[in-house]
This record gives sequence, C-alpha cells and structure tokens, in this order.
Amino acid sequence: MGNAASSNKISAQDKAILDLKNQRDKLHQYQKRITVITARETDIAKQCLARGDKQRALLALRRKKYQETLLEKTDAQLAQLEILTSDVEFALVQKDVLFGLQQGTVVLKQIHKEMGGLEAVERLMGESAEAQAYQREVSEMLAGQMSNQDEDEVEDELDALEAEVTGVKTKLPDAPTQALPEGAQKATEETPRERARRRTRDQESSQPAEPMLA
Amino acid sequence: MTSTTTDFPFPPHHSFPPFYTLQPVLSTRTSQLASWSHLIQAYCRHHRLFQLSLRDAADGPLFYNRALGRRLSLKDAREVVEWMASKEGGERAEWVGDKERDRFWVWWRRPEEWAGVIAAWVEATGQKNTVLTLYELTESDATASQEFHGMDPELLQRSLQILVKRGKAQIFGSDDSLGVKFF
Amino acid sequence: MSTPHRIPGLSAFSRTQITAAQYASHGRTLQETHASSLQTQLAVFQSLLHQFAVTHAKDIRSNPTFRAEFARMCNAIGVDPLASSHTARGAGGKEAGGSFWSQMLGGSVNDFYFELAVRVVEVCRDTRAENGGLVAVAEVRQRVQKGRGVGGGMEVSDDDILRAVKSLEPLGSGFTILNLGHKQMIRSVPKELNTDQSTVLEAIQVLGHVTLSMLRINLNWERPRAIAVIDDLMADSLVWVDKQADETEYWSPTFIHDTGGQ
Repeated sequence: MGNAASSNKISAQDKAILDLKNQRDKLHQYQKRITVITARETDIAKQCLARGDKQRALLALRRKKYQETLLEKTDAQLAQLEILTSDVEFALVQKDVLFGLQQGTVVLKQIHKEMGGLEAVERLMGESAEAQAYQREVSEMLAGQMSNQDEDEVEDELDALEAEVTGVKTKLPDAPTQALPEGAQKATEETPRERARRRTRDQESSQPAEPMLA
Repeated sequence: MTSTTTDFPFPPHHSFPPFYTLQPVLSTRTSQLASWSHLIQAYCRHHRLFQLSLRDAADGPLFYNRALGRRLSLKDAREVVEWMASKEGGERAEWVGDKERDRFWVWWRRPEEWAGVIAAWVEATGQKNTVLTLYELTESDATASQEFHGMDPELLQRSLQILVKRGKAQIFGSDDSLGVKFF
Repeated sequence: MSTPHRIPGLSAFSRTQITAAQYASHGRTLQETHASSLQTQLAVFQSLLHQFAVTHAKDIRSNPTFRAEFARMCNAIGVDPLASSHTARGAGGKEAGGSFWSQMLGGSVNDFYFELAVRVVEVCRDTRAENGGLVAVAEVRQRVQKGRGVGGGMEVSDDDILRAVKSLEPLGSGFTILNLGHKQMIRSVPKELNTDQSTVLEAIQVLGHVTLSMLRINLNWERPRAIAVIDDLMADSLVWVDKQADETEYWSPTFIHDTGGQ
C-alpha cells in the first residue's frame, strides 16, 4: 500500500509493532467472544448439577478454565513483547521479538480453535453417541493441558456452584462439638496430592480404556 | 452497529402530519427536504449509524410515525436521499453501490470532517508517530468515548486516505490487519 | 397627632374650597415665576434618568421585567426609549427628542432593541421557507431565547419582540404585527392577507388543520372558493398539505412549533 517514497517512513520496528498490536487486537476480540462462551459453560455446569450430573458439569468447567488460562498466557506474552518493541535498541532485540510473536501466534491458534462457537459448547450437554464421543475428546485434550493447580481451582468452582444450585450450606456452624457431615469432612481433609490421585482414578473409571492423548 | 440507550429526541416536525407528504410547492418542499436531512443525520448520529437501508428502515421510527399513522413512502424517501446527496443538499448522503438505490451513507460527518476529528484525537493523546491498528482506532476502550468509536471500517479507511493524501498519515500492513502511523 | 372629632359638614366643605383656591393661586404663581425652575427640575430628572439607565444597563439588557418597568417609566414622562439612530422619522416633537434621548439613555437600551430587531429579522428569514413569512411572536421569542452561534440567546419577553418589530417599521422593511385569532403574528413579507385567507388561517388555529369539507360546512363556501383560497395559501407557503388523511388536510406550519402557550 502506498508508493515507495512514503513507505520509507515505515521502519522494521513499526512493522513489528503492528504485528504485535494485531495479536493484541485478536486477543481483545477473542476475549469478548470467549466471555459469551464461558458464561454459557457456567450455565451448563449449573444445569448438569441440578440434574445430579457431576461429570458433565465438571467437564464444562474444565473447558472454561482451559480457555481462561489460554487468554492469560497470551496476555503475559504480549506484555513482554510490548516492552521489547518499545526498546530503543530495537535491532538488538529484534530476534527475541520475532520469536515472541511466533509463540504468541501458536497460542492464538489454540484460542481460535476454541472459538468453535456456542453450538460446540452445547454439545457438552448432549446425550447422543456423537455428543458423548465429543465430550470424551474434549476431556482427553484438557487432561494434557491443565496443571494440577488449574484442576484444583476447577473443583473448587464446582463445589461452589453445586452449593449454589442445590442450596446446600457449605459454611459450618461455629460450635466445634457438632459432628461434621461426612462429605464435607472428606473434602476438607483431602490434601492436594490425594486430590490429584483421586482425580486420575475418576477420569480413568469414567472412560473406556483408551490411551490418554498428551 | 452501536446504539445509545437514551431515546432519540425527535424534532417537532416528526409530529407534523404533512411532514410525511412531499409538498408540491417548491419553496416549501425545499424547507421540508432540509428538515428531513437534519432529522436523518441527527438520528444516525445519535445511534452511531453510518449507513441506512431504505427498505430496512421503512417501518422504523425514523420514517414511520406509528402514533400519527403517517409514513414517508419509499419513493419519497428516495427523493429525500437524492436531495441530500446533491450539492444543494450539502452532499450529506451517498448511495452505496451502482445498482439499486437502497443503501446509502449518511454523512452526519463527511469523511473530511472525520479525518479532522481522528487527527485531532491522535494529536491530543500524544500518539503522533505511534503505530496504531485500524481495529484499535474504532474498537479499543481508549476510544470508547469518541464519536468515531464503532465506525464502519470502510468509512474509517476512506477518512484516513484523506490524511494519507495530505501526507499526514501512512497506512501499512496486510489487508485484514492494517496499521496507521500519523505524522 | 389626634384630631378632635368634627361633625362632617359645612366646615369641612369650606375647608376644601379654601385649599383648592390656595393651590390654584399658588399654581399660577409657580407657572409665572418658576418656569425656569421647572426647566431645571426637568433637567435634573433627565440626568437622573440617564444615570439610572447607565447604572442599570446590565439589568435592562438581561431582565425583561425590569426592562418593561423602565420602558413604562419612560413612556410615562413622554419619552420613547427607542427613538435613536433610526433617522428616517416624520416631523414631530419626537424627532428633536430622538437624538437627545439616545444620548440621555446611553447606548444600552437602543443597542438592545436594535440587536433584538436584527435577531427577529434573522429568525423570520430563516423560517420563511417553512412558514411563508407568517410566524407566531411566541415562536420567534423561543428561537431568540435559544440563540444560535456566537451571540447566544437573549432573555426577552413577547413585549420586547413587539417593540423591536415596531422599531423596524420606519425602515420600510415590510415587517408588521397582525392578530390572527387569539395569536399575535409577525408578517415578514410585504404581501397582505385578504379576508378569506385570514379566515381560513384563523379556522386552522382551532384544530391545527382544515379540510375542504370543513371550510364549506362551517363557512358556507362554494367549493371553487374554498379551493382557490387553499391554493393561494399553499402557493405562499402559508399552508402544508397532508395527503395521507381520509380527506386531504391542510395544516398551518406554525403548528409545528406551537407549544400551546400564548
């Protein structure tokens, strides 16, 4: 665009900055759209819990968590890149910037895949054979992508949501002499490591014997 | 397309039944066309609309006053737009496409005026010599309070081209991710 | 001071007579021997009025009630507050007083009404295409108050508008005030309304519009006559047509901006 003479005003740094800002814009766009999708996923989790279907609720929340972590990842990368591209000695950091942009692109591609849209989200609810196959696929994909801390946070969210949906009080009365309900006792006493182990058991038992995809 | 939540304050002509009949007497008609032009521009400005389709808008509050039971016919609306697009009308409208006269730009600000508004904002925010994407000019939170926020991308490019011609800006990058630098 | 109770009667009557006679002679004395002091008193009063106008110039400009009072005061002592640089006046005492009073009152009052007259002319000119040069005083006042562009609005009353228009008369500008029904209107084109036209416009004031049937029924007019008057009014932009009603309606454009007030 433009003639040769005026394009002299645009430097290599300008172009790198444009690439960076374009990635940021895409992220901005995705953030807007993802919010709609994650809101729906929370809704679905609630509905599943109301039906007593904890498995599917968990899946919906895991998916939502994964999308949110993707966005956070890119946010951090972009912040890093902004620092690099504002550097005066641009020539020195040019390679780093290019690498950073490439990394950013990879993550953005992943996010883009999550843009399957609301129909894809609805399939998390489905009962048909096709829907169930889809749910398994998503579950496997997520298993490899989420850290234990992420999975912990998802379970916390699930508990909170369940309390909200079923109206069960999770806050215990003050008097220490009262016996705790069995389920709550179990949850508060489980260590993070025990949780992770239980999780793996749950996932294995809910799926037919299929290799876990990394 | 963005729209504001507050109601548009219609001018008193909107409640005047003859306003929806094109007046046969020339001098009266000219005054009427000017009033319609103002109304259409003000309406679009309020709702941040940059284009209208006559067919789509025919049953809307702009051309049809339900309470009054009066509407500006499609044929008459076309004449209004023709007048708006003419020199006499101040070139405040422009048909989109060559074929049918249905869609039209509503220049409640002409591209030249937009060029000025955008350039002024860039200057005021100290962003000369900074690379900005076309997307962020119209979609970012930074411009949310500006009148060009949510602007039609085609109009944005047209306005920026005016600055480019004057040597006040340079557009670069690939088609769906263009950037601009102001000087 | 208490006066002892007296029986009203002869003595009271005679007392008044004496007093009147005393005053009459005193008056004559004044006239004969104090003519010069009257002049002096008038001169003093004039300068006081001048001082007043200058001191309260701001109030005269900005406050319509105050202005009305001031104008009343001037008229009471036979002074026309607007007589000024409008030089083309006919013969008569006013002319001689004209420039004298403009000096007396200072520029403010005259400037005010002159500026207002200019604005009235502007408003009439701007709206002429819409209303054919016949516009309600109330509407003109509204527009002047709202203001436009650099000048901003002026705080004015209907009275002020009327005075400003009257001050334009000697310029032969074709601006006149006319009463239509219960409304006061400004006519800004030289063409006068004939009786039939005025009748129709007055009829329109009731509902905002008329139809040919209404004219024929209420005024007992033949169809050609009704059509002719309507055509005339339309040609002069004094009436707009609405073809979407059951029977074609003719509306006055003054209805557009009519807020219902007087």
